[in-house]
Amino acid sequence: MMKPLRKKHLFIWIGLAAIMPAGIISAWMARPEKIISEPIEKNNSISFTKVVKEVKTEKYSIRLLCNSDNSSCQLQYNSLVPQDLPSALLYRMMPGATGINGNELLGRIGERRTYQFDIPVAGRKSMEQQAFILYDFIHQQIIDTIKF
Amino acid sequence: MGVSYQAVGWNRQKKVYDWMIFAGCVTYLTLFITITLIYNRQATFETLLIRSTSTLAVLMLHIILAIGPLCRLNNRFLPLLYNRRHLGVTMCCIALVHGSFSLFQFHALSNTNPFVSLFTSNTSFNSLASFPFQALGFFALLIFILMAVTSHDFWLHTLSPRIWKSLHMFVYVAYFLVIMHVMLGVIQYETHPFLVILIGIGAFFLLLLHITAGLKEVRKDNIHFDKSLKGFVYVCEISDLQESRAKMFCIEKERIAVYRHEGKLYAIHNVCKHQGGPLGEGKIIDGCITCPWHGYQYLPQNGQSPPPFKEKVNTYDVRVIDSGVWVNPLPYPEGTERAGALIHATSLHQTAI
Repeated sequence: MMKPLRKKHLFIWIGLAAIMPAGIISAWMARPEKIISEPIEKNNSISFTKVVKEVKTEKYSIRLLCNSDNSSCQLQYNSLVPQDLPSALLYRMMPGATGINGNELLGRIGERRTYQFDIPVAGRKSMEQQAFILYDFIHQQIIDTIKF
Repeated sequence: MGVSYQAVGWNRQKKVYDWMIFAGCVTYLTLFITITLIYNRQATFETLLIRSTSTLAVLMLHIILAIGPLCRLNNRFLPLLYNRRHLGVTMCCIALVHGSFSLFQFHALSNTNPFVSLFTSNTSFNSLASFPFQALGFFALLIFILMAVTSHDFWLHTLSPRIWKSLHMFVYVAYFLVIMHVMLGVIQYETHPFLVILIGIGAFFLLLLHITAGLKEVRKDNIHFDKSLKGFVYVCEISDLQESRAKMFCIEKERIAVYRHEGKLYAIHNVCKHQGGPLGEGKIIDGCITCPWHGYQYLPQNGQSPPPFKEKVNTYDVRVIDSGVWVNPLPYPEGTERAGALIHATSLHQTAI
């Protein structure tokens, strides 16, 4: 290498030594507290049998299931056709929430299959009035709002 | 070595090198996919492909960037440098698989053009946590593709070494973009610091290597040669030079390689015409000074590549005074024949004393 080129290489790496640690540390510190990529599917191996409400569209069906004494409930999401999005997040709409982050994240919807999410019980009447949001986190837009 | 555009000239070393690259890639991908499937049985084919190729490309990029300084610090790494461009092209292809599948997975299944979607779906430029990291990867990939496409010697000759080298120095920009692509992308969804520690170690290792090697070169360049006589500068003793090997001296801003060969001393410009390799770190093979980087050859007495090749470097006058080696830093035009300085028996005797 010519001497100016050697110098250029050295200066570039000295510059990188200044900005790389700053970039890495800043990005690590900036991580959101709530990690949204991990699905929160609780007790999804057992399905409740009592169907409280059901909504069906061309693409999916959603059922609100409860156990016999209504002490526990589940939201069951079933993809009817392959999704036209790689993955989406399912939120339970919270009263007074502004923006998507104010809602409660239930989990991630990915490949075509049935998903079940435990949801808190707050009385049957309020259960039936609950609404859910299907959210595309890549494009950061609401795909659908599901109301029972 | 090529005089015109031709397909890559394969030799045994290149084939061995490429088979090793291939075997390494296959082993890594197999291991990554197997281990992922053991711990996450629900992982889809697309996810496995995107993640395995991304981690492999980042690993290869670190290896590629480490080869240069490792060679400057220790000659034993030179075989890795010989075919580094094949490693670079392979890394680019793997990064292209990652980029293509990511674009398809995240942007292709809508009415919007995937490339438009890539740049318009997320415009949170003012947020680190939601920064459009995919665009960083896209630009890094663009640089890798440009480098891979122009990696053949045809482009080196067509673009001129200066432009070619400047273009290929964009790899450092690409490296920074890749690191930030990872840090602002997958790391934002990670709770465990394992990945960030790996990235940190890789970056630290590369920074340390490059800066150490760079400072070593600066120290070499800053050695002063004070003793001069009628335009000649004293550089070393004859005994400091091994047979068919050279020593480099930075006199008046540029490096000169002084070779000892068959009882004579020759001095040529240290910079190879191919990619600027250090000719003084090579050795004389079959009567030709051979560049340690890619094997370009020059005759010691005139700095010309043997026919039919046309590369030429400057030559210099050398003198032997007693047991000392003296070099005139005034260069002769490239390819000028110089007889070389004869090493007398008395000089060797004085050296021995």
